[in-house]
Amino acid sequence: MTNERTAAPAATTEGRESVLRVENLMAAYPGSPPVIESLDLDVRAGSFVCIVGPSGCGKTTLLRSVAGLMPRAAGSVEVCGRTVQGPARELAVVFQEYTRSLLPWATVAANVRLPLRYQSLARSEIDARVEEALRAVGLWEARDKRPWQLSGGMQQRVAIARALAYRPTVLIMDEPFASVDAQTRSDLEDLLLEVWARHDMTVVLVTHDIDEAVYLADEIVVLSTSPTRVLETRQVGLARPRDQIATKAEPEFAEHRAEVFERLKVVRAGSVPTVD
Amino acid sequence: MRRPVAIALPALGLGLFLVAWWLLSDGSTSLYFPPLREIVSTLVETWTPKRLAQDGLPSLTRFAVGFAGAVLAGVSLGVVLGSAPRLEVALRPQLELVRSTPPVLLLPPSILLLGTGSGMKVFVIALGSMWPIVLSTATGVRSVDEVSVAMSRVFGLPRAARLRHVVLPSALPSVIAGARSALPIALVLMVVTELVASTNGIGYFILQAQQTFDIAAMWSGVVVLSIAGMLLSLGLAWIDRRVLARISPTSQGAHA
Repeated sequence: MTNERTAAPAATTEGRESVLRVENLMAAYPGSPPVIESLDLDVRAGSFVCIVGPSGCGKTTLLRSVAGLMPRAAGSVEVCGRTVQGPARELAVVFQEYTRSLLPWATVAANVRLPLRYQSLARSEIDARVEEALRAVGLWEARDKRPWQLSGGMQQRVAIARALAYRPTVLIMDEPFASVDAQTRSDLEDLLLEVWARHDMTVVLVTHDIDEAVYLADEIVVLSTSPTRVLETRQVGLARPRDQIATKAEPEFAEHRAEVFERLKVVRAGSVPTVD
Repeated sequence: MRRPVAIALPALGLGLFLVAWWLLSDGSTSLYFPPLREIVSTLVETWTPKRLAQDGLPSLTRFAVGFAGAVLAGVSLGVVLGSAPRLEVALRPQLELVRSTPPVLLLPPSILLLGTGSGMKVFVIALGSMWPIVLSTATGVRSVDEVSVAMSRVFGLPRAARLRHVVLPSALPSVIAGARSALPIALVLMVVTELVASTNGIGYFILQAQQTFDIAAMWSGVVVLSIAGMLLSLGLAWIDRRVLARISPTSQGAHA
């Protein structure tokens, strides 16, 4: 689905196989109407997809379904061609709440190491991966500290390192930078783009920040609320590597930003009676 | 600044109490309330290393084994109840019943079934004092952070690993809180089992002294028991602070 805007810097993921496919997904919590009635999503290997939508549009529910953390009411979710029954091995998640997803009683290194211990890997391989991942996020020196001795941004970097060391095919991120300050946030965005470029990995990142979505993504998926469905899938052809100043100064950036914003405004206006 | 005060104030309170006791009891001619001076000198004479080995050690050993059993059984049952909410709801009436029954009532049937040996005493201490640990552990396990649980599932931790690395460490402060409430119950049961049927132990010593009208010796036994209880309680409080400090500096300012 390439439109004229993206024609110039061609999407490199075009033609690659699909690593995450969601079809007719219906998701509901017991005793309430479905949060998601029918949703389709197709993510190609190696791409960086950002999902944006108004708050309460079921983004987190979508991620929980994809991650195999909640049963589906209907439809199918496939990760790397296999139907998701529980959490898939090819998938890792970075949660928004780093203080809760990291174990406070374990050191930084132990947090990164924990998932690897149950993957039947050689000790030397585990050690190597932990070191590589912590170096990639610039926290090798802090390996013996406990998470609560670090700043919020550093803690989220630990969570990213843990996911990297796990070597997922698809990295799911649920508003990963929503709880850090603006400066740290742009640093983390660039760090993420860097590690994504270096590892052959697909990223699906949920955010409510339109600038962040345009800055990071190859493809933006705009969701509507009640019922949650895909309003638009938009290709972003901005050149890589991206730059916080230069990229954001490009006309294409402003254009995407304005159009996505417009979309979401319509969604919000249209759903006034059901907004809580 | 806070720590010296936290140590000095209780020390001051205890000191004042002892001084008051000493002065007020000094002229006492009452058979039942001998002067503290007399109690202290009896204490020093009576509680020789030999006496401690003969009566103190058996008590403490039974207490230690029984209390360890209470912690082990309490944590196990607590984990089961905490991870199966429906089971806990189903068992709640029984739990409330057991919890509100005076644990001393375990004694007559236990003597009937197990005799009067150390095994019976340990059993009564363990079974009678485990309930606060069961309930507290269950609460701790139930309130494990859902994000940590989601994390451990996403990263494929097997059930046992989740228990070991996520659930148990997170419930640990609750387990210790339960153990701290169980401690006085276990001490009471240690003494009571020695009052009813015993040939040694601090409780036995106190009873013997009372029956032979050696009142100062009786009080010295009570003092020894109080000191032992206080030390055990302080020990648990210390462990509690260490554990909390490891989890986060904000939950307890003991460690920097």
